[in-house]
Amino acid sequence: MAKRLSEKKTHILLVDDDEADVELIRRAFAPQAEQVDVTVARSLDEARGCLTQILPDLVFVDLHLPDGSGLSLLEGEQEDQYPLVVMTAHGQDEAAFEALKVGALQYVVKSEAALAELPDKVELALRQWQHVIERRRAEAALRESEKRFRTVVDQAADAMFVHDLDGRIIDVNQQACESLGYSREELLGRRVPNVDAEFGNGDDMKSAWSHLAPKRPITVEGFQQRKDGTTFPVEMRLGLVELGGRRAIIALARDITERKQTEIEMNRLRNLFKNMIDSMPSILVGVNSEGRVTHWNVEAQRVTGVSAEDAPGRMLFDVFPQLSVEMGKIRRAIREQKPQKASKVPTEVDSGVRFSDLTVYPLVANDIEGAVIRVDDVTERVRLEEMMIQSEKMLSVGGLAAGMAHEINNPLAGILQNAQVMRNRLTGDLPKNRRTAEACGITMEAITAYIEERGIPAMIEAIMDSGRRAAQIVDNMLSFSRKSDSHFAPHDLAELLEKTVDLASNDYDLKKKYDFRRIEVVREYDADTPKVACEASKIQQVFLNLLKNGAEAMAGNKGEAPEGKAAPERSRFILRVAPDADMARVEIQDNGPGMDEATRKRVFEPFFTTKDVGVGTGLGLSVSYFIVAENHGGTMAVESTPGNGAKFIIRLPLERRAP
Amino acid sequence: MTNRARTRVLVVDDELSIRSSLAGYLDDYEYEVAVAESAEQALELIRQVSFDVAVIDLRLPGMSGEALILQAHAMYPAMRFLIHTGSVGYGLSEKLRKIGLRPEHVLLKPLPDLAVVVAGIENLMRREQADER
Repeated sequence: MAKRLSEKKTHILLVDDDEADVELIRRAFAPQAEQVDVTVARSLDEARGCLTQILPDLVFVDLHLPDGSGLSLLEGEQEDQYPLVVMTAHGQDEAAFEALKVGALQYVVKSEAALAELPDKVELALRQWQHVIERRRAEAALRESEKRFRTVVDQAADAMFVHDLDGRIIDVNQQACESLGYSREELLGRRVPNVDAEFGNGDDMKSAWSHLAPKRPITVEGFQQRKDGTTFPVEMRLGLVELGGRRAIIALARDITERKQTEIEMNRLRNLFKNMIDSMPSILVGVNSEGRVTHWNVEAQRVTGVSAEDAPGRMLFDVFPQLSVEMGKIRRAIREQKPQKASKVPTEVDSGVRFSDLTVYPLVANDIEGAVIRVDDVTERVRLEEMMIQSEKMLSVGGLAAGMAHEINNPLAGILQNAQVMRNRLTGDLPKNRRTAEACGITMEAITAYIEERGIPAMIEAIMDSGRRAAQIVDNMLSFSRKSDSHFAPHDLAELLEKTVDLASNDYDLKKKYDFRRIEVVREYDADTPKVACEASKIQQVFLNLLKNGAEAMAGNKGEAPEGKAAPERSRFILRVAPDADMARVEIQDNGPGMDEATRKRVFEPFFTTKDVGVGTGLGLSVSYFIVAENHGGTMAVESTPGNGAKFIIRLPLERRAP
Repeated sequence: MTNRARTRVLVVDDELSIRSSLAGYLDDYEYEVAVAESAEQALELIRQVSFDVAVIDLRLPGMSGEALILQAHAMYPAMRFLIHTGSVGYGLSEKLRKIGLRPEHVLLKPLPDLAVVVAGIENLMRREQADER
């Protein structure tokens, strides 16, 4: 490759076979010999020889040379390397234009004057050449850039469509052709393949286009149809651009089949997971280490009334105050990464005390610390356990009583019978008494006077009374072992309860202690309660027992207000009868002093009594319990806290069932 | 009113306190009363004297009260029986029912009032008379 001689000197190659002209030009350049060096070639051949040696800054070439046209110097790669000024004779304008067309920089019409002025043209030509070079480079760069861009566009993973506002395609990339199965030529001029916006924002494409503004691309989702008629989901990014003064749309379509499938699968999993935790009977609550809720299942929603939409992000103690006492456990579970448990945690709610089992499982997911709290309402189980213990106690008492009954009844008979005979003989108006008295020389009147004086009849009466009471206790105890088998008939529980209230109001024993009629009775009877197969007298016995107990408990209500408490209200029973699944529920609630947990747990226990010695046998409630649970296959429970009265709840199966 | 002096009652109970008080009570009401403390002794008496009614405890040493009733009935079908027992929930056996015993003839110890025994005897005697007619 030839190289330029010097940056300072302008090197000129003059190709001309006309000696006179050459001489003329030489002379013209002579004054600038310092700056300009002129090499002369007299033929194309010679010129090419020079060009292999040096690369001139400027070439003057005569159009007609002995071995061809001066323009042939423009052929090949040379054209980019040096500027070429063509010299022509007069009348060769056409040839001169032709020369410019094929790449000559300028042309000079040969004349003596023109040749003498050539040096003046050099600077201009060189400057002009500089522009040409620059333009050519820029063009090359642009071509290169376009080529690169095209490659990038063609190889892009997204299908690209450039189309006008009517949807007519102006350009597409390789991926667009491949994804739809059309050739580029098939696509150009067609309308953009119909995009069925089945999912996404639901707009059709035209309305999507109408929303476009420059520099504000939008994304829509839809389906595209291939040449073979099949469709696939795409996400399209639409941008509005100006192309050649006209608005056009560039749409990049991405096949999201896989993403859609992943989304569907993820949704399915999410739903499955949600359904799973929602189908749990437990409350499941997720919290992070700050104590903020992250998960909230349906049961949590049901119990707290806070919806699954509202709970996440809120503090646990705000949305689930009952759990706030367990924050320590939650923190410990997170800190030690070990599950924490608490069983039978009592919570006071409006309807009484409920018990929960609580488990806190530490959770580490994606490095986010937290815990899952599981809360199970075990109130029913706890109550059932209490009842089972109760039943067992009863049965053991029953078994004991049955075994003892005969042994006790015989001595009792001895006591009672002998006392009665004594009474008869001392106070009875019997012929035999008189005869015997006479035989002894005494009158019955004297005997009567004596025993009355000494209080004997009252003593005998006391013996018989004690004997009868003992007999009653044995009889009550025996009811624990007696399997009732008779008199089951359908009864309206509200009616039975009413009859019992009447009975209580007129009970002489009861009136002695407290006036039942002073007690307000509120009745909440659900008329839809079905009749219950039961033994009416037994059930009435239970009701009467509860009413008596309640009345006794409330007898204290008329006293002074206990310290720090409001004056007691008027004594009041609330009686409720309502259906309860396949059972009927009776509630007898008083507003007496209530009882503490220790008492509450023992009330059904045989011989457990809070009454003074001699007032109660401690069997009333246990007999009631036995009647309900063992004879009728029902349940009996009590809810009470000190100061809040007591509520006895009896549930009896509608149909008779084996206990 | 039946002629009480003519009514002969046998009281069978192994427990003295019960036996004697019941006998004493009935004696006061002008019954002719005999006592036995076992079934065997009772049978002995029955062979010697004819009783109208026997008040019999069931649980006895040796022969049971029920066996006694059945045997006595076989010997003297006119004899009537009251059962006086401390066995709770006692139910009459088929054999006893066959010879005419009914739940109202079963008296459970302890009786709050012995008047029920007298009433029981009187009922049996009335039926006896009705049968005779």
